[in-house]
Amino acid sequence: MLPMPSAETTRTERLPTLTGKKSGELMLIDKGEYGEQLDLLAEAIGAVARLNNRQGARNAYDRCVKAIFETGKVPATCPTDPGSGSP
Amino acid sequence: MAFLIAIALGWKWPGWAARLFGWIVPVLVAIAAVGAMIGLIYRQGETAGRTRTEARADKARAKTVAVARADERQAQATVDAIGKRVATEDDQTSILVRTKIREMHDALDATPGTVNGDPRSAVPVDAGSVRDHLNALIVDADRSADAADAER
Repeated sequence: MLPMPSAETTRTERLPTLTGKKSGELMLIDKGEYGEQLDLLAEAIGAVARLNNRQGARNAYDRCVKAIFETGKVPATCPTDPGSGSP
Repeated sequence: MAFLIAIALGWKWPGWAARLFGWIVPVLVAIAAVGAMIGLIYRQGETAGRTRTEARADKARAKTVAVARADERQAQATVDAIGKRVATEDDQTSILVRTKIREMHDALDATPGTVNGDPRSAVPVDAGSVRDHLNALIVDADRSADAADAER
């Protein structure tokens, strides 16, 4: 019997979508600086997405390896051929 | 003791002792022979039994090891496949991020700045398009979270 990770270690991260709430006040900002901030924000959101992908890989790893060692068969929900992309 | 001393001194054996001796010796020999036989058979049986049991245990062990090795190979293939899949997903996310960053910069470049540093000539940024681009990335991140939760 292989151990299963605790629920806490399989958690993923979610972000709320922007609602575009307006205050009605306008202000000026340097275009270069605003662009840089947007870059970082976009990269940060992408980093969350990639880490979620890896958390999914880790979850799949735990589930599939456990099933393979306990039943001797690869479950239908686990990928087997490294050549094919997502199942 | 007295009997042994009598024999040693060359006394004649009493008739009953000679009869008893003639009777007891073959019986003892027979018992010894049967005992030796039983011992031999037991030993042979034990050796043969052990050899057979060991052979059977070896075979069973070899089978178990073979099954474990097969499981390990299958597990490795699956883990490799998972690795390939996550690499593809990461690449897709990175491409999406680069695309959205470029689109936001294109939109910013198209937005006119202030004329001669005069704040009153400023044009509002199309915040809606910026928001849409960022939301597209957030939706991608949340979709990854859904997929990861489904793998549990």
